[in-house]
Amino acid sequence: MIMKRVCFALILALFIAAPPGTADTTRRAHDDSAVKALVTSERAGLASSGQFYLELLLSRREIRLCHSGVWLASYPLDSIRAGYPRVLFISLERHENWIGAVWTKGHLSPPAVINRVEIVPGDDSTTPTPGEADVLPPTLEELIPVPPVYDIRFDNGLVIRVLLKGKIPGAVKKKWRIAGRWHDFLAALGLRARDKVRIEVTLSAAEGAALYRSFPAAPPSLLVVP
Amino acid sequence: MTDSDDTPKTPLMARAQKAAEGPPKIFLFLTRFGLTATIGLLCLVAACAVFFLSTGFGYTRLSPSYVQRHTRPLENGRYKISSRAVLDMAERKLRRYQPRGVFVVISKVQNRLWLRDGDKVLLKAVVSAGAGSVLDDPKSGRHWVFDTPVGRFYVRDKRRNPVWVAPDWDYIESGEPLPRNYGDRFQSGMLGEYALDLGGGPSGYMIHGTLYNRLLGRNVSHGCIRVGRNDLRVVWKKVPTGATVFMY
Repeated sequence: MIMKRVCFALILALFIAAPPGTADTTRRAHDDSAVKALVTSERAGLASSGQFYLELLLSRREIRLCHSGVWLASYPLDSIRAGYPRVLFISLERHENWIGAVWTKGHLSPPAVINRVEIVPGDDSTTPTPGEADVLPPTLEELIPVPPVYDIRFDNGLVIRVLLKGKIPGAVKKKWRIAGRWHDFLAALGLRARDKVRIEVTLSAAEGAALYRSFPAAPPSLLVVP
Repeated sequence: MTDSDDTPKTPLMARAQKAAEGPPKIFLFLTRFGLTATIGLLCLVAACAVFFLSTGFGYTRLSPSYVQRHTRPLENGRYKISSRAVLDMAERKLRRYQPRGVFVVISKVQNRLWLRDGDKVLLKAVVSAGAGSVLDDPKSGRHWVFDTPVGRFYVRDKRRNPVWVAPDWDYIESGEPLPRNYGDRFQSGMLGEYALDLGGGPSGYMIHGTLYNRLLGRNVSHGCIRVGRNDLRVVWKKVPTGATVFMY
C-alpha cells in the first residue's frame, strides 16, 4: 500500500515537474528542422541553376541577390506585409503555402531602361574615358531612372511591390497610392488581372534603387525564406 | 356686402392670407422629396465609399503564426527520409556550387568590388565598370555596346605588367585610322601593374589597373573592371588563379 502511494506520488511529482509545453517544443524543433531542410534543398536547387536568383528573408527582413549559393548583395527592408485581393472585407485568399516555395520568372514592372550614351567618333566628350579633366561621364545610376514604386512580378500572380522611401528623387508620392488603390479595386472585382499574393515591402530610396538597377536581365526565381 | 366674405380686399390682405395658409402643397412635396433624395444620396455615397474601401487589397502583418500557417510543408513523402537527412543532402549539394576560398564580387552599377571569404569581407574597393555606351562604325557597319558582363566568371590567368592590344573600337572611337601592323596595337602601361584575365581571349574582360584614378567610382571602362593601384595589389596578392568572380 505504501509502495503504491510512493509510486503514485513520484509519478505525480514527475508530471508536475515536467516543464510546460515540452511536447510543443519538441514538435516545433521538428518543424524548424523540416523548414530548414526545405529551404536548404530549394536553395541548393537554385544554386545549381547557374543563374542569379533572389531570396526574401522574412525573419531578417531583407532581400538578397544570390548566385551559386552565395549572396552577393543584401537590401534591408523597412517594412513588409502580405496582401490578398478582397471584396467587401472578404479575403479572396486562395494561394496557400507561398512561404518556403520558389517563385519563378521574375521581371520588373516597369522594366529598367538604360539611357545609353552614343559615342561620336572623334568627340572626346562622348567617349567612356574622356581625356578632358573636367568632363565626368555619367554613372549607370544616372543612366537608369528608377520609378518611386515598382513591382517584381512572378508567375502565377505572385508579386513583390517595392515602395521607395526617402527624400531623394523617386520617393513614394501620395498620388500614386490613390491610382494604385483604384487599380486594386478594379482587379478585385475581376475587371483587371488580379495578383494572387502581393508582398509589399518598403526600402530606403538608395537600397530600392540599387535593387532595381541591379535586377538580373534573365528572369530570376525567388525563394521566400520564413 | 358682409364682414364674413373671405375674398381679400387689397393685394396686401391677399398676401397676408396666403402666408397664413402656409406654403403651397407642391412646395411641401418638393421639400420632402428633396430631403429624402439628399438622405438617399448620402447613403449611396457612404455605401460606395465602404464598398470601395473594403474592396481591393487587404494587407496583413507577417506574424510568426501567419508565417507558420503559410509555409509549405517539406515533402518527406518524396524523399522517404527524415528532415535531417534531407538537410544533410541539400547542404552537400549546396557546397558543391559555392566557391571555395577567396572570391570576388563586383557591382557594375555601384562601381564597387568586394573581396570575400565566405561572408567575411577582406577588401572593399571603389572601381570603374563598363560605361554602357554604344559605338557604331558607319564604314564597316559594326556595333559595340560597352557593358560589363554579368554572371559567374573565373580568374583564368594572372599577368604582371600586362600589355594591352588595342582593339578596333579604340581607333574608331578616337577617329583614328586602324593600324596596318598588328604590333602597332601593343600598348604597355595602360592596364596598370597587374591584370586578372576573366576569359574571352584578346577581346575578353579583365580586372586591371588604371591611369585614370580620378574616374574611379564612375562607369568609364569598355567592359573591364578598373581598380586603383593599392586595391589592385591586394586583389593580386589574395586572389588565386581559378578563383570565382561574380559580377552583377
